[in-house]
Amino acid sequence: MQLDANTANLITGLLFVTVPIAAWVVVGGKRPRALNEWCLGGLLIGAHLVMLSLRPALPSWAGYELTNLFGFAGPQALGEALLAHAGRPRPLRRRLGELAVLLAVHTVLLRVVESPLLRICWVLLVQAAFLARTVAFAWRIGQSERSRSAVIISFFCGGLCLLLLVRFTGIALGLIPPVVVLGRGSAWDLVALSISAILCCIFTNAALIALLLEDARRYEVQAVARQVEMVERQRLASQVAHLERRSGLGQMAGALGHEINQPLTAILSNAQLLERGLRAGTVPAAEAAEIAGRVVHNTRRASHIVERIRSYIRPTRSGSDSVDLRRVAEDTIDLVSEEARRRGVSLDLEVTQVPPVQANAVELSQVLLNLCRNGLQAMEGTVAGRLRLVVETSGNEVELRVEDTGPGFSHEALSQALTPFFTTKSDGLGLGLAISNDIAQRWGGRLLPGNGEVGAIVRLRLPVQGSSPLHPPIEEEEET
Amino acid sequence: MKQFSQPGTDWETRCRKGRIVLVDDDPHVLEGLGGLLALEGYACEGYLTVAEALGALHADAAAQKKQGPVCILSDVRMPEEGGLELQQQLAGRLGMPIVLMSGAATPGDVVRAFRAGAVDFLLKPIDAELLLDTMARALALGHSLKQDADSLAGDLERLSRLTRRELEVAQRVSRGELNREIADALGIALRTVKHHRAVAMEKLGLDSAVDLARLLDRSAG
Repeated sequence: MQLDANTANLITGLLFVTVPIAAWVVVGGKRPRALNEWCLGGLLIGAHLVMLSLRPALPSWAGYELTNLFGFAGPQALGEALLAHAGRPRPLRRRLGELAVLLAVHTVLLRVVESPLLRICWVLLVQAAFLARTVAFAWRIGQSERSRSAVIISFFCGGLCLLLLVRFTGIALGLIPPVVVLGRGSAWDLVALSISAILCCIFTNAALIALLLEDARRYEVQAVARQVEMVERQRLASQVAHLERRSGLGQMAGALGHEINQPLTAILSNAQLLERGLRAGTVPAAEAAEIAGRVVHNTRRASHIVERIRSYIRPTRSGSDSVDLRRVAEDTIDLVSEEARRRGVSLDLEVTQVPPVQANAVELSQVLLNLCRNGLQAMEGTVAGRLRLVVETSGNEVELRVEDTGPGFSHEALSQALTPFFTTKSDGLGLGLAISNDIAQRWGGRLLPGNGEVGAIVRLRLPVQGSSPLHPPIEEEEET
Repeated sequence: MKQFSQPGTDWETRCRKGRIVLVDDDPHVLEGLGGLLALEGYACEGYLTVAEALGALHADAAAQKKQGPVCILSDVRMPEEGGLELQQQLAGRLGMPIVLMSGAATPGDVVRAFRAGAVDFLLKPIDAELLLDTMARALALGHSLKQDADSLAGDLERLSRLTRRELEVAQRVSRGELNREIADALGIALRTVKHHRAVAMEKLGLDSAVDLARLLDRSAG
């Protein structure tokens, strides 16, 4: 069998040129960087081989320097493609510098040392090294992403690399003549090299396209998964918020139960007094009117309590209003007064005239209620506990402060206070402050937990209506 | 303090029927309950705090002896001290039954109240019938406690009139010892024993040895 090495190189080179172009065209659309690098690499290798086969017809600088520049840059680009795929591309300057050094050594061997043996060995060694690097990268990707395509790439590049090393060893040991001799069957290694290069070209390009397809599919799956996760998390968060509210409601119901019993007791006893007194004829008209007045007053008191419970249960409207934080604070104090009384905690309310803020009053009262309840719970076991609520203007923000005389936040608790599901209570969900913070942020404000001289201080700051918020409000996701 | 009364009966008469010390921090509840009790003919005093009520109870502790039965009706949950604290501070005081009431009682409150000897525990809102029944019961209990206390005081007073020897003889008689045995035991003449015994019976206003035994038994307990 006779083989013309130049013809073999030409055929292989043309294949290396066409296949990457075909792959590049086929993929189309927005091509990832990895594909561009890979195709460039194939193209350069192809150009290297074609020019190698045409060397006798080329000027010396093109036949040697340019040809081998392509010969170095091609395998290098293959490795770079895989690096880009793994998301760790190298800067261009470093790559070019690398090439310049390698080519400089080559030129020295060619022009100064004038040793074809060393020059060929150098070229083979560099190419084998670049291929070995590609093998390593592909193998790593194959392992980490469980990608069969990447393993195939590493397998074929590995084969090619091995043959280059065999040729290098053969030439270095003088078993193979360094200069390609035409025909005569003496270039058996070249035959193997050409065939494996062709196989490598076809398989690795196919594998790379498969790798990119795998990638695209994985990306799509991940995107869908992310979407699902986000929707699920939103659903969960709203459920949990509801749950938190319900559990708060349970505690509230107990306290309000007593509160409503008080006016009911007054109503019942006064009404019965009136009934009996009138029947016995011992109640003068003036006193009867007074008793009836007490019944009316306490009925109003009871219905006011019911109204407060109802406004607490009512689902949050997404609309926003101009809210007077002072009123919110006063209403909240009303709501917690019973619990405070039961715990023997005294409540102080210090409010000044404050400008309105843009927010949702029900949400804010929930935040405040939550802060107050936290404070009350923190003072469990504290003698003569005091809960102080302060509302004041601070720059172009309105600050609402809840101070307690409990043990305050521990260092750890302070750093994680706003983290969802962090709790120091045995029966807490750990969402109170996190949700409160969400609400504050939604209205361009923030929640600042901290410690005072005694106990904890939590500040809720909201921008004054009409002022530009320090922290732009978080846009609410549109409900679907 | 507010005294609840109705025209027709004066305070003294009401006190003989029963005096009720009412404590609740809610003035309207106080008015309603106090009015109902006054309508029923009781002498009812309303207080907004436990401290006030305690002050009044201590102040007229001496005067109470001559008055009719007394009882307390107090709310459990109040800003400062509650009914349970009031109960604690009155512990051991004879003839002072206490009824507690609450709109948000926990089982623990109720158990504590009954352990400390509350007559009853009313859950708010309280129906007039139940209120009056309970107060009548509490006052009846107060009355009988007071009577027991009064008769005990009388017994002790009569026993204090005996000389030491007379008391010794009377005690031996009540234990069923015969005159001769007493004489031997005390080393005195039979005649002297008979004399002491007759004087003691006369001083105590009793006819039989059985009555004597009963009296000594009561006063010892």
